Amino acid sequence: MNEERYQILMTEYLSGEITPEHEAELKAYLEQNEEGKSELFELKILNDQLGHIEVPEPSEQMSANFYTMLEEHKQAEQNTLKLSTRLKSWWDSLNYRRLAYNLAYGLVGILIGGLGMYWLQDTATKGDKNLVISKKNEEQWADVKKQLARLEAANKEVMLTLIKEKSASERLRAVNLTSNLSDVDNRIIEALLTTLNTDSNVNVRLTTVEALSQFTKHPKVRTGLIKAIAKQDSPLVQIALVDIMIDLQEKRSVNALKELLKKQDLNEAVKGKVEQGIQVLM
Amino acid sequence: MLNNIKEEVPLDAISDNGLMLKVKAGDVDKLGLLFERYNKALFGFFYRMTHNAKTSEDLVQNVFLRMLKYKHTFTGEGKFTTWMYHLARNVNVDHHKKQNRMGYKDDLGEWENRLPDESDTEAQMNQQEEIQLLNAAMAKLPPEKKEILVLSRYQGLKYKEIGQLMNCSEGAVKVRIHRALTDLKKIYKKLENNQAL
Repeated sequence: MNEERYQILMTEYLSGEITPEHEAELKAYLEQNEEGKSELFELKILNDQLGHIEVPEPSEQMSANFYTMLEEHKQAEQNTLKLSTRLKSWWDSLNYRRLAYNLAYGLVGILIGGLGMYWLQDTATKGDKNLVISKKNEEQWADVKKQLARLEAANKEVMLTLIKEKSASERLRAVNLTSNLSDVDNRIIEALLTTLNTDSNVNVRLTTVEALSQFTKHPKVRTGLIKAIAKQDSPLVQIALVDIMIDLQEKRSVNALKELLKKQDLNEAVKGKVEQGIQVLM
Repeated sequence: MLNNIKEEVPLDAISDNGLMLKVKAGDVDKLGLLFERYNKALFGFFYRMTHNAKTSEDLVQNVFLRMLKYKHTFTGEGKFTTWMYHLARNVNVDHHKKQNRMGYKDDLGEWENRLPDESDTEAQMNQQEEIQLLNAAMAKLPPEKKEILVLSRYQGLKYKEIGQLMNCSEGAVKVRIHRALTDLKKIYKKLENNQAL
């Protein structure tokens, strides 16, 4: 038996939590080990003595202190709650969505102003060959570009929040915000395509087609617009989509347009437009 | 119907975990019930670790303060007592650190002073003497060894729970208990021999 095994069995024995199998194992070992036997005897006495050590009762003051502490804690929590409720109602009264929207536009204004100033300054110093000034201008330009990138990122976040709003006018604003973006990422494209295919308001969908038409360099946008043809039931949106397909010379849309023609309730004006589109694209 | 049955359940029957989850949810009054259930056990733990009643009362208070402070960390998955002793151990460690910083040498002297002197009558040298000697030996035992003996011998924690607290296996807990007990025996013998001289 190794030392650790022996220690484990001893502890089990002394605590009275030993199984008959383990006890037999320990007994067999101790029968051949006198030192172990005397250790067991001594530890058993010590262990029993430990049971005689008594602990005094805590004073009543301990209990009183605890309940005082509990009351103080409750009081402090209530005060914090009151403060946070006041802050929340103040925040709610601000109509934060409108605030975020206005803030984004305000920043656009400031940056456009800043850019204008920069270009004026740049034109005025164009003839100047001084390298130091040129370097300074480069730094300023890099700074402006950084600010623009930050603003664009903020604009994207505002757009993604507003596009989920219940109010159609807020969603319309969200779609319009994309006109300020130099480019769009996957999140924006997906949000716009979802709006195009699922939004209940025709104006929002129509504006979304226009917004997406700015970003047709993205294959995902092109494919999304083709797929949207089959999903639209508003004649205005259908015509807008056909126009885009013609502009883009998107031959892959022919099949989708042919399918659209098969629709029983297709508006006559749309039908003419689609036929014209197919002719052009074939 | 079910709600009515739930409401009729006496507070005493609510599990420790159920009470602590209520505290976590903001019903901090329920901590009072947990205090009533465990203040003596915790006092016993600290008293055996520090040998000082006043200090132990303060440390018990600290444990319940930490329960309020860290109530968000209580998940209700393990046993409440395991979480409670986890906090108690940390309170104990912090207490010892503070004492060391302040230059205190534990409360060992208190026990050594209580050892019977030579003028004691022979009758007084029986069980009472042995207990005092054992208390003095416990006070001399390194804190981690004393702690594992206290948790297993007095606080009634299962090996598995101690293993969870100390981040080791049940087997390792049993080995450590045996080693702590063997060390205690050596210290006890040494004190006994010094006294006999």
